[in-house]
Amino acid sequence: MSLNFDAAYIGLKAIFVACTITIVVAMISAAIMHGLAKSVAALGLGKLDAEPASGPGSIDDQAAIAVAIAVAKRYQDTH
Amino acid sequence: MFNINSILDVFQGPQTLIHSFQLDPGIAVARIVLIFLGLGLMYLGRKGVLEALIMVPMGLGMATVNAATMFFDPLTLHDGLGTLFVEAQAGITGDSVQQAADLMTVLQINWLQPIYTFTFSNGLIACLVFMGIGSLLDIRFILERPYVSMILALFAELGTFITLPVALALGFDAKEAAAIAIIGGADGPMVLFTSLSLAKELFVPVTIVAYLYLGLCYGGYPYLIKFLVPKKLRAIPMQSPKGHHQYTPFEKMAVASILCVTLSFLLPVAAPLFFSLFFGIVIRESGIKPFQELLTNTILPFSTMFLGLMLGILCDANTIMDPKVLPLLLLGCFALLFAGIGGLIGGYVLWYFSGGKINPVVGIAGVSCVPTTAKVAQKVVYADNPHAVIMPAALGASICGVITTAIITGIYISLFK
Repeated sequence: MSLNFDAAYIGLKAIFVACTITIVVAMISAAIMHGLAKSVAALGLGKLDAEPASGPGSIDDQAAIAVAIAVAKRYQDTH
Repeated sequence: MFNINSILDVFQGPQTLIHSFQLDPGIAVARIVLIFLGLGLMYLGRKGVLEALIMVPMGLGMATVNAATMFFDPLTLHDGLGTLFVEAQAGITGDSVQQAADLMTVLQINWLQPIYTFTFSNGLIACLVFMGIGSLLDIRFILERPYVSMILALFAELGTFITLPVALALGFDAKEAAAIAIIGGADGPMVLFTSLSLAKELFVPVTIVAYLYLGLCYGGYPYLIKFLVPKKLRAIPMQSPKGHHQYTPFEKMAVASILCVTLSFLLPVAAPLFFSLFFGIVIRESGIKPFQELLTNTILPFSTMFLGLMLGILCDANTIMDPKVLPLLLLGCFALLFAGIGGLIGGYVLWYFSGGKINPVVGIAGVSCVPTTAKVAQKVVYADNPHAVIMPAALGASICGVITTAIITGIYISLFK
């Protein structure tokens, strides 16, 4: 197998371009993550965790509805 | 009545082996070697030398598929020989009507063809693995050190960059070279996508080589780390960054959602992967226990098991003996070797600039084989210092590795398509 150094040289030029773009985009992504992390901490979104879940879509409500249906069904079955 | 040949016809495994010896001894020898290699991989997986989750199903699949060859080749692709497991080449040649007909034929014949066609060749199985991994991941690892994680991941892309000119020098064209180079990113789904976009004819061998090496990273990288990082440095414990914020589940869910949308917007080529990973993270943090249990206890083991099994089944002698596979095996090995070396160079650079606070071993986790490389890094460090915990930083680097590989995938496809 012979080596094609001309093609390798073109490849080196391509990876120079690819490497530069990758570094720029990767550091922008890191900056976004850093900014996001700071923002959520500053916004105090964590306080929302302390609030009890409510509303028809909440897991607690769904569990309560399921229990109510089961109780009603048992009542129907036994009466 | 019966004669010895008709009795032998019943046992087509030995018959096809004798037939292969007469027709192409290389294929026959490869079948025998692959049967023993499969059993060996199972043994090494069971012993914990290689990743058991992949190697046990893969080893048994590899051994069995090479044993179960018979005189059966409905698409006339392999000189009259085949199996009832899977036909990876189906639908690759011919016009679209012929492709669809071929695909329907093998879907009705091969028992694993639906898994291959509908989950493996389109990357679904990898996305399912990512969902499962996401459901186990704590995103704070990446939020604590975004720049450190990203720099390590960038260094670990050395293999992806350096393999491109080497593959070109070896005579592959630009599209093929780019598809092969992405193996260095150690991201199976990204490799699938790149080869489908740039070099469809290499799809099967490139995919096999990529996933094969991802499994073997688990066994090879510890030796690379021990060779390049002295014991004293391997034992450095890593502390959490000073003044770091304790993220609540709601905050982590918010960050994961915004990151998912932002990264998918920037890099649509990797959007299925980002979505799968962050979907798992969001489910974990949302508190929806049934979904989390489904992802963690069912989908992750299911997809990992079938991924390993499919890899083994695809390693039949006909595929492995394809003349294009040997250079691919060497280039895949080269790409992942330099990815590991690059990651460790990154680890050394950050160790130096942090005044010795960062364990250089964490660099290997920049090779984005989530979470295998992070597990490897922690395992090696633990052997030298049971009190050193580098897993959080390693997972951060691993996740960033997915991002950098996605960036390079997008660039290669744009440059060479």
